[in-house]
Amino acid sequence: MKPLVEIQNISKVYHTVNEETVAIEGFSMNVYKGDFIAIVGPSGCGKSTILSIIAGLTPPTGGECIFNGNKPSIGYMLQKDHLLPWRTIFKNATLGLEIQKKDNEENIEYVKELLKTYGLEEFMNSYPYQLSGGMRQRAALIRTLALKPEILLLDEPFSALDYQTRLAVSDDIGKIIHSQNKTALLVTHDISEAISLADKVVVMSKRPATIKSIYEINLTPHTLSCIERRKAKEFAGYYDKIWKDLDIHVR
Amino acid sequence: MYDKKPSDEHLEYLKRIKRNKITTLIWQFGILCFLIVLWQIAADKKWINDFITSSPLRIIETIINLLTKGQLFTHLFTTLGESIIGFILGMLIGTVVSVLLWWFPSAAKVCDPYLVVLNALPKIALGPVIIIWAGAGVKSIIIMTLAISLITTIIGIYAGLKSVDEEKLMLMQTFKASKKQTLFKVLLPASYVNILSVLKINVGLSWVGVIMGEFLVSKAGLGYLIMYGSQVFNLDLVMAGVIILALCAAAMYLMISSLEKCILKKFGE
Ligand SMILES: Nc1ncnc2c1ncn2[C@@H]1O[C@H](COP(=O)(O)OP(=O)(O)OP(=O)(O)O)[C@@H](O)[C@H]1O
Ligand SMILES: [Mg+2]
Repeated sequence: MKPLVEIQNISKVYHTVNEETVAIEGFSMNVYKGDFIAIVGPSGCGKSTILSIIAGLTPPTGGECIFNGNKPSIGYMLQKDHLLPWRTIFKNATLGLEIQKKDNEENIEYVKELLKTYGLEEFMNSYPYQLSGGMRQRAALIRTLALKPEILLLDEPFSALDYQTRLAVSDDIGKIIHSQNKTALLVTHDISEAISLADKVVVMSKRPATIKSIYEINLTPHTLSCIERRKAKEFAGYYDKIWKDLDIHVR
Repeated sequence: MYDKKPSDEHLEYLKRIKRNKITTLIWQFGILCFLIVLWQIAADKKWINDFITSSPLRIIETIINLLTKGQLFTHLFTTLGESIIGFILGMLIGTVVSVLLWWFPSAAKVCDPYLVVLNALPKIALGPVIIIWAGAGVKSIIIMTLAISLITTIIGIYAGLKSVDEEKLMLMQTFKASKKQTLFKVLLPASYVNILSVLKINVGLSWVGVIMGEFLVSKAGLGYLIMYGSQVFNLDLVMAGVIILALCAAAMYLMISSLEKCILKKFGE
């Protein structure tokens, strides 16, 4: 099977007046259809940069991203929900459709369906401030899903939430992504979150970021619920290895 | 949300807030009355020279006089019209210019020192030039108003556009939004709070501009009334003009700030 995206030897250098920062160096990875890949790495190592390069928001300094077949549509979800406060939840969810002039009846129906499935139906006409953090994050996901992207890029999508909500929402969102059989790349700081959601965890080194190791996650009671997955007996083993690879010291 | 009855404590709390509010109001009103009465007594007892200070009763008399002769409304509407036109023009031109500055960032950089200098310049100094260029009429008054309010408006709204969260723009990029879509769907709505505060400042500035303009040229308007009064040493007229002006400015300010409250409430901020 050919990979959906071949990331080949990507590098990225940022220039500012005072210095140049080599954010990424020689980063290569293949993404296959249906993959759920988590990327963990120390702060500021260039994780967000990799996602922006894949999304085509910033060009890489060297190397390239090859998309096999038609260029797949890409959905990008940011750390904060960035729901627009002057739009209702429904209008927020259809923002992408509206911008791309795809707000036809079929797609609107699809958004309504999503809102219903993920428990936001009664909040369709509410404004974002009336929703809890978890609900807002789900609304942001629906806004991304509305465009039916083939690849989902998630940049620390849960880190703005408190711990309990975070567990619940990541469980929800993990299920949503799995059930829609999307290809997803998730950036996170949270090792347990990475293991419990993804089937592959990529550990990055400090800046300039390269791949340090890749773990295929196989947990024995095979389940999609990431709360259940946290209870698997292999979990602690993975956690240990990744923690060691990250090599984080508090100075 | 809660349909259970509020507790006694809560009712007591609400009552206290209300009582507080009423006390404040009484004091505010009381001080005003006290000052007016004091002014009147001081004038009656000749503690002060009422030829140059006028007195409340004489001011009221003057206002009634102006009213019955029908001059008041001519002056009032002249000034009101000028300041509304100046205000709206200032907002429109200011918004358009700041959008252009945002649209062409290099132009914005080039313009920056000009804006800084123009902002620092006391615009009143332009008065004579404006009169020579635009003639002694309403046109000059409107231009004076614009001169005073426009630069502040541009700087204020432009700063608002620039302060919109970088990530919101990135979100728009992920949807492949055009610049125009970003402007209308995110930037302008996101700076509504900022635009509202610029609006509030501008109300005041437009009045300043109009009165300044009327001091320099004009044959009607509250500014003219005040100027004329001072030239013939009729302080009753001057004071009456000032007081009517204060009332108008306050009314316009109240209108804008209640509009602001309305809009902010809608989006829960
Ligand atoms: N636009 C930019 N200009 C200059 N330097 C940048 C820019 N964007 C990112 N950088 C730098 O590149 C490095 C990598 O940034 P990036 O945001 O990709 O890291 P990250 O791994 O996502 O970090 P975090 O964990 O904090 O989200 C950082 O050191 C950052 O300071
Ligand atoms: Mg990041």
